[in-house]
Amino acid sequence: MKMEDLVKAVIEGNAPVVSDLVVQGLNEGLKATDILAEGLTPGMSTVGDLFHRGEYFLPEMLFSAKAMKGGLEHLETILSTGGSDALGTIVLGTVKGDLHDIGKNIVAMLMKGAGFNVIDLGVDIPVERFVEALTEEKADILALSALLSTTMPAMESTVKAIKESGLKDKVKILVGGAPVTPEFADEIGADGYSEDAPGAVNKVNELLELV
Amino acid sequence: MTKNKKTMTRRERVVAALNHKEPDRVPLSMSITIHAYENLKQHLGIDLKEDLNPGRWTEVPIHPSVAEKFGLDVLWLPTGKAHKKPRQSNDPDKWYDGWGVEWTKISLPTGGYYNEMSCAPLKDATIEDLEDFDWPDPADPGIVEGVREYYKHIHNDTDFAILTKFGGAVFEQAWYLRGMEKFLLDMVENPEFVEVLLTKIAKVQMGFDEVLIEATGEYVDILRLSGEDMGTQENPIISLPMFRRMVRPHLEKLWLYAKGKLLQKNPNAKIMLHSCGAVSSFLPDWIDMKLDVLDPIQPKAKGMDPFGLKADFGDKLTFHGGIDAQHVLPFGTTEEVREHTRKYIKALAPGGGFICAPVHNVQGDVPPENLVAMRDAVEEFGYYPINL
Repeated sequence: MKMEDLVKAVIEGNAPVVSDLVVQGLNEGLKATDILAEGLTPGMSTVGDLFHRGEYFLPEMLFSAKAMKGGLEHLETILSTGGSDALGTIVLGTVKGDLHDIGKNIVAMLMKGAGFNVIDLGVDIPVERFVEALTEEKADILALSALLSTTMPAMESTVKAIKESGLKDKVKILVGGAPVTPEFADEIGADGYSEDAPGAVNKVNELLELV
Repeated sequence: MTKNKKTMTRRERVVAALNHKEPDRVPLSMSITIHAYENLKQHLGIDLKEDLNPGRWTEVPIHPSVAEKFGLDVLWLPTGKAHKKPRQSNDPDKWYDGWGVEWTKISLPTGGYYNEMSCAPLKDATIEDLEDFDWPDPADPGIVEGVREYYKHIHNDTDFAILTKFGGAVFEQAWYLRGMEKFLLDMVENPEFVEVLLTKIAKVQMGFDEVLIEATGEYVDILRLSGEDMGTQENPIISLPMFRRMVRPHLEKLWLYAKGKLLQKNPNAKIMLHSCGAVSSFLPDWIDMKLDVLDPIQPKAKGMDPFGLKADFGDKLTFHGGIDAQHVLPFGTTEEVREHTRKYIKALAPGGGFICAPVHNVQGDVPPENLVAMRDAVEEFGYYPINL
């Protein structure tokens, strides 16, 4: 199996080929971590760049993410038995009062593709649920999403509650969503902001000093 | 000095702006959700008991007396409701619309509630299932009941311009029915399904346009064709080639039909598209599809600079909107609202072709003081000739 073929198949969103190549790689004795780091991750990273540059749009990105996810499923059991293979653990969700999830879902897919352990709590998540998951999962990052101006206060109260809890020094908080600005992120005490999903992956890498 | 003097009726003002002629003053328009409406009424000292029946987005029609006191030039009129009752939910916080989409009432941290889609009825559907689906029926007599009389009353007994929506979105309705991620994936991996779904939806919407234009067309000044959101904050949702290949044929047929039928009833009427987000790359296509008015010019979306849009498209399109709902209206000071409104008047008003309005149904987190500041800024800066 050639890694460049896997990268190409992810970029093209060719799910059957991605799946076949991952299985072929494993059969040839390649390490799951290498297949992820040299095949799926660079593929999705290129997709993220294409999206950021306005060459890919949501349908193409979702198509590639679906293909990547199919490949990742073959690796997940192996990776999770390895324990600490993930680059870090991210808990994410849309804040209380907000049911919008496409942006959050794309962030989750790109984070998975980038090699993180991602715990997606879903939508309309109260503060206590975030705290519980962060503690249970020993997470490094909390990523919060909001689409409505009317739910931005819930983002603020969530950040405040985390900062006031024992998790303050253990978890970095990233915020995003259509009405969220870098100024708002600063104002509420978040550690990072990104205007789009590929940027969120870069930001997490930065916050965890992986770059 | 003649400045700051109204010399036109509200409707004349709007019609002039729509025809790219300078009216006496920039017209003002607004749509609003129930909580913001109640706050505004209280702020204006209006004690008016109304039986408010909020729409899907918790928006309510503004009563003519409130519109008059606040200073609007445009009234957004509702249509009738189908006699056939939608499916009922056992959960008091859940309900279904006429398309079978499940909505859930969600409490907001700022008070009040918002309706959110919580289940898409066609999420697992095949092409064959689309044939058997329980589509809304435009021939339901409830749709036009009382509508003609009310539009006629507003037209004859007030001087408001009338804005309305009949058949609505096609692309956006498709993802309400299918779920957004699923539908966007369909656009790549299941284009046959997309084609059939959009055809079915467009047919229903055309049916609504047909019966309601027939009932009211001569009284309508602006027909809003949508919410047809095509943009995210950063980019269009789909690429321009995909739009042209898969969506445009359906919209073009529907728009041309609605416009043609409307113009037979009122030769001065215009068609308006509401499309949020970063949509500037679509504008040449929409103009080519005979669009007259673009709403909302979302200030914080990429590529939606009002000066650039006016320079590039101002001779073809009237702009409706401009007043930011993501930051300025909910979180800004009254001074920020004033400056923001001034900027949009400066950019879009010269030569006519601008109707000032908040870019979205005003939400419950917008202080009524900020709406008043927007209105006052139109009064302060909106008189022609614009010299800002």
